[in-house]
Amino acid sequence: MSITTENNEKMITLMSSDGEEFVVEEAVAAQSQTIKHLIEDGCSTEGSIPLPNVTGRVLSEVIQYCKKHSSSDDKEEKELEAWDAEFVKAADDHVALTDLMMAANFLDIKGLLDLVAQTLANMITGKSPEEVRRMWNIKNDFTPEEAEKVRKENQWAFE
Amino acid sequence: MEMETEREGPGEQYQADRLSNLPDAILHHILSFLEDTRAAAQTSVLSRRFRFLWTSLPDLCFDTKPFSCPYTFFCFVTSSLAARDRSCRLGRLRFYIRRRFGHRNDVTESVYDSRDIALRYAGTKGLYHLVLHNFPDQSHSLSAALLDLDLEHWPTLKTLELAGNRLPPSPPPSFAGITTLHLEDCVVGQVFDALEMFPNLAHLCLINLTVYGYDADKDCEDYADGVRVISGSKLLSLRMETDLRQCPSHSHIEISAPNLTVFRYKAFHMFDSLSVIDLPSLQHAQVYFSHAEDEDPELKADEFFNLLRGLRNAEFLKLNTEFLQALLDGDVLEHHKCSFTGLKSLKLLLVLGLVYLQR
Repeated sequence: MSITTENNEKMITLMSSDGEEFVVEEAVAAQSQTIKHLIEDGCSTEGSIPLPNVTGRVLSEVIQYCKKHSSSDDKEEKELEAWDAEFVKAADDHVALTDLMMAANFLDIKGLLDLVAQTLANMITGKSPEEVRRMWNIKNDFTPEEAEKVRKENQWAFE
Repeated sequence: MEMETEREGPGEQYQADRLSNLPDAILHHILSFLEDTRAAAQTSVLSRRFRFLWTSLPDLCFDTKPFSCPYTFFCFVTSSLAARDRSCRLGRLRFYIRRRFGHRNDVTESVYDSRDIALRYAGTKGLYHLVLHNFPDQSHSLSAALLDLDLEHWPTLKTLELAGNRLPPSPPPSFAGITTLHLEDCVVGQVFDALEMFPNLAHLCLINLTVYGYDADKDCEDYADGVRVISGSKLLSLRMETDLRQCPSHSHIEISAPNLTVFRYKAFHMFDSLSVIDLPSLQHAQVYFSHAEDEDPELKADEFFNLLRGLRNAEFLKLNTEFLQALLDGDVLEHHKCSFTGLKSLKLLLVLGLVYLQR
């Protein structure tokens, strides 16, 4: 069943892995190539589209992004960039960003995937290996001999 | 993947290593947003998870910027390629050659050698996006930067971005797959005629091109006259920019593209003349213009009016006030009508404290 609004926008319902339902305009949801294909294949007619890999918390953020980026209005690039910067800042704890990355990947939303990848890359840039490990709780599992070997292998990257 | 993350100390929250847990493809995507492949290679020392991750990156970016010596750069490029997992594809290759290494070393032949080695490697790996930027010292290295791309070996190439390169007079006849072409600060042969060699071109961007054969010692007028046509049945977007550095020419450029939806034009002087013949599908159009102090924009009013009329199908139109001023000063708007029947939005860019550009 599909609902339409006053503006005759077709609405669809997305269901998160934890059972939360989101009713959004089809044009907003279709920014996700995955959802777009599901709609095209007729999966939306039998109620809501289940998204088993995305929690409600993450999905609501994804929908925020899609709403901002959806309309065909002549939006100023700078305005969108500023909005994007605020958006990732708000999600700026590591867990949220990696979850968002996984969701963008599963839902196939290129703009969001690139935005989060750039944000995560920026967090690594300019930091020493030790700082990066501490930031992400990465365990240095090299033996001292291995560590020395890796350094030698990639010496040109460190000159 | 081993998951043996430990408590760092008493009182600290246990937190799983979310980054290492991401699948390879996603980590690759993140690594490709680092500054360059050197930065990606540096992650190899983090842990076993990261040790070989960078050797299967589908996206390589070599930039001379962080290197202080051409030889070290050469070694980095060749050892990066040697370290690669042979079964992996390479989708995008970016190669940036800056003018100098640190404060001491000039770009040497070895740098161009490493570029050619990388190109030969990429040709066998399914490359679809190639970016070659050269930031040459205008006086001496243009000839060294002559790029003789033999694209016959790259049937998968879709996007080609070149900056600061000198292109051979006629490109090889195998640009059929290319849909996006971006040329910036390039010295080109008959690029406008050569566009016929890009039958599937959808996106074209031309910024500050110098036409082949230009000789700075000669009078500029005797080489670049004539009409050039930009046309293409599959062309969807076109962006053209010229700036003050560009040699003035008296050529006339005609644009005719039945499916063009986006047209952006930015000009900083008045030498080239431009006319738009047939753009029935136009949606977004943008025209920014500024002129040098000693130029009289009124002289261009008729031509500008014709340009504006060529854009009459646009739904979203952006103009700057200098362009409009030239039309008003030339009195053309009073005598002719120009109707935009499908217009949904008109934006005017106002430059406060009008700055005249010095030549």
